[in-house]
Amino acid sequence: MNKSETIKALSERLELTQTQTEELYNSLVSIFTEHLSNNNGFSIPDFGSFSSEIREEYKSYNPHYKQMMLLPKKKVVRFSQSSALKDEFNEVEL
Amino acid sequence: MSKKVTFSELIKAFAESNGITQQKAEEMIRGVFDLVIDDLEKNGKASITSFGSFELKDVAERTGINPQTKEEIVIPAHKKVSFKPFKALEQTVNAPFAGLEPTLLGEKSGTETEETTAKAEKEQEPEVFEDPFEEVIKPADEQADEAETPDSVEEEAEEEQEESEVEAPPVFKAPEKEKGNEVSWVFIVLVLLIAGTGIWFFFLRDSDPGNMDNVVAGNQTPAQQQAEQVEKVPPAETPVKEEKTSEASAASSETKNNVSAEPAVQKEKPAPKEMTAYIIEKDEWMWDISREVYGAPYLWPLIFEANKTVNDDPNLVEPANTLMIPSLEGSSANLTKEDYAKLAKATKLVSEAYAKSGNSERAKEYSRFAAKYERHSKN
Repeated sequence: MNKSETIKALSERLELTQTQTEELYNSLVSIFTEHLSNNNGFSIPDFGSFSSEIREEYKSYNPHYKQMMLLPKKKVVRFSQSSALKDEFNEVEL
Repeated sequence: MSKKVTFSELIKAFAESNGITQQKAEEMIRGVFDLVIDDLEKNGKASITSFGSFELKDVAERTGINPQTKEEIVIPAHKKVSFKPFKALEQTVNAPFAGLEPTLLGEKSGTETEETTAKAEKEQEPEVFEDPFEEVIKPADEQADEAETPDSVEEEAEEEQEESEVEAPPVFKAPEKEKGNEVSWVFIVLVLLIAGTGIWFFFLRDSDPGNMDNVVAGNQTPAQQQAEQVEKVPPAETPVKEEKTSEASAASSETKNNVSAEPAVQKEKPAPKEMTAYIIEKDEWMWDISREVYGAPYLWPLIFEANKTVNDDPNLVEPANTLMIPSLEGSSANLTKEDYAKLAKATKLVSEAYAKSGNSERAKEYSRFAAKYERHSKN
């Protein structure tokens, strides 16, 4: 499903025009991005949680240069699925 | 460090910024993720545009230990939703560390790892070892020297670099110190190569939309300004670590002096925003950085404004972050009207940020400052 299909489906569901929906969609993504770059994690009920964290520098082997390489600190986005989402795709044991 | 935003806060912010009801906002967010789930069920993968992609992955069966009973249990094979952020998100989030590059640790090579220069290293084995030191932090006075005498013959620059080489790991004591004058044409080629790769690298960066422009390329004056400002600072507190900038400009000026083999477009490309990168040392606050870079601590709101994404709370700065340092039109002792206008804007922002993080006293204080700077900008 690409973006336009998503927008179409959403606009039907929200009873808004596609332009409006697209604006909302873009602003939602930018809100997510802003929160993550400000170190704010957030969670979506029944889906999972997003958070950003600093990955410390670490050493790793670079096969191209055949040498060890020091990879610098990086801020990365993490996602962790909620248990509801897990159950969605797995048979729930009773 | 990481805070949490609750779902209701998220909905509220989303609703307010778009002028829709909170109910609609919640419906929207849930709708987006419901579609993702639908897509995952159908295709096993889904994506949110300019955010990231989700994929359903199989996890193999494994044995684990129940942490409470210490019993060994079998965790059955299951499916898991994994998330991979898209480049745009990755770069925005990583903005504070964007200036950091991976470094080679091997014996053969230096600290340089950019692909381009690494390739160059292969072509010209012994000489190019200087290149790493272009990227390596230099003492401030040396930078000032370079910036002051941009017309200096490249041999001078080479010597300077070799001086810094002596302090570096012994591997880099290349024999070319003696060769220096005799094979100067080799150096010309070399410097061109370095400058070329440097410019190319910065050019690539500039054209990258996700990246903030942290480079003053092809423009000499900001670097000189920077250098002057650096000079004002007492030597005791000048471990100023400005990456690459003065190097880049020095390199480009060298190119101009020697041979103009580079396409003119790249050389004269104006830097969109006159910024330089600065890596924070531990326990350094913007106040200290401003003192080091501008020679006046009260100019720190400018730095804060340029780095809005770094953090909401002005009191918190992550160590080893890279900050963008905007350059001034005048000098710190003699600010121009435009500088004051900029400062007023930045100070307002600081005041807002303080208000947001609940420090209302500071917020008031800084809004007063902002008003003062605004008056200055008009007179």
